[in-house]
Amino acid sequence: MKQLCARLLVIAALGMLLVSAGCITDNADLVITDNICVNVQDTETTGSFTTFTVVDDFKDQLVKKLAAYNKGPKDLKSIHMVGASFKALKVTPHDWTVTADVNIARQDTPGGGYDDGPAPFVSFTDQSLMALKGQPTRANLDASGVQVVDNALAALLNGEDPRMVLVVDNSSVTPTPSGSDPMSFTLQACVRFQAVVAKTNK
Amino acid sequence: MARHRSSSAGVFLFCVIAAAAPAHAQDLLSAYTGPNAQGYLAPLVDAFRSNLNAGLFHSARIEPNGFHVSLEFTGMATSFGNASRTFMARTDTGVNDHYVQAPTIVGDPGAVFTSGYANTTYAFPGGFDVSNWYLSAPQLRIGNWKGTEALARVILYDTGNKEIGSLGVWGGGVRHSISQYFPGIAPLDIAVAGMYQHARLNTDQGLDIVDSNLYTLALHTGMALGPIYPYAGLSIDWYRFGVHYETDGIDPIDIRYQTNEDFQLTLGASYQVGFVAAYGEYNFADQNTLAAGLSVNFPFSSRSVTQ
Repeated sequence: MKQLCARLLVIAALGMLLVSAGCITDNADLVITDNICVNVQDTETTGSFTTFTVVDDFKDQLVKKLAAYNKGPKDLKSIHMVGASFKALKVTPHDWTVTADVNIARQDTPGGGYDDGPAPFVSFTDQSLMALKGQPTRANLDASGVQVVDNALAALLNGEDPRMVLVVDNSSVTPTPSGSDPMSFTLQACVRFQAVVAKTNK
Repeated sequence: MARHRSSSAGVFLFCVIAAAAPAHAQDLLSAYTGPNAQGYLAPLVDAFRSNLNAGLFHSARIEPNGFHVSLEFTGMATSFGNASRTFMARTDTGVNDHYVQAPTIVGDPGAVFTSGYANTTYAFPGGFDVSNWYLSAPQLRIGNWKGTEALARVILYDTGNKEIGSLGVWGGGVRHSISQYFPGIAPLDIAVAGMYQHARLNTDQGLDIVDSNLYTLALHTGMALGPIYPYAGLSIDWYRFGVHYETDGIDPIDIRYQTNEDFQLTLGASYQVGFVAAYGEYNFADQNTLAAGLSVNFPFSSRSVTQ
């Protein structure tokens, strides 16, 4: 009988298993990928023009995006830009082919000087606006413009409220707009960012 | 690098899905869609599959007839090697994308950064630094009819979180003795088996966050060597594993795995004392699994693997 009990104990030891552990979501760096967007609306009657759009809700948009993930700027380990996209929301009365440079700058004080930039951000060469309809088109970025955006994102983490300006320098439009055939468009420009969240123990 | 985390499958899935619950869903997965998602989750999926295919038998002997039932408790453990901790992830910027060695879900917790085009930076999320994971399953074996027995197992785990729901794993299958038709091969035992196992994480709203189906065919063999019964098995499986989550404010997460004809080799031995048998085995698969268990047999005098 003793021998049988001893054997059963050995068997029970072999029967081991089942553990548990603390929640393993601890301390993993998570990544939020999302967009901050602005609509560029314009109507022009010439083929060569300069227009600008102010993004004064840059911080608000980011805070709202992070809030959707139950996160705030203080939860972030870092934040950076990974890309940009453009999408035409409205193009009237017909398609236009444009060649333009889009520059970006930081201008925290309305009417004041630029705090950073302007720097080349995106260039379009013979770009059909109608072709930008539908899915967002990823843009080929310029490194100096990316740096301005990354600087602004870093400033957000420091509690600042950067105000961004997109300056569109349009050199040509085909066909050339006129008073009787004005070019009107609404373009959605989005900066795609990644926010790295350093997880804390739950 | 010190690795110290272990988790049971229930805890692991709970935590992973907890991170993927409503507001957190894209934290974990937004950087991972398509092939990256598969690479990131692969160790978890492979370990789960390997676990489910383990502990399904501890003898290839099935008596031609006579009632028997056995209640079994099987534990499975998978240890993640270094190769499981990283995978080659691809940036997803649409311009000059390239591959980077990034943590898998069981890898290092730190995010990995790489430079992209135009001086952009791209980040891959960290893993959860898991070195081992465990699964345990009670199972019931009942037979015999013309050398055939049935097996069922079930795992129920209530996460206690309404948004995540409960994890349920259940499966069933049959085994049939082949050696009964070939008395000349005695004492070698041979059996074939077919098994289906389903796992799902189901919210209180009826949404299946995790849904997996595993289909396994196997060939089992073994023979009594004194008090020990060594056994071996070769199985082939088809696995479907999906993670799906929808909630307001984020894009739906929908990740699907489909693997076909993956093999698993099982080598083990069982040892019987009275009406209790203990068994241990090692399973060679994409993620190797160590399994051990106890089997309590009824009638008490029946089904001695060492006979």
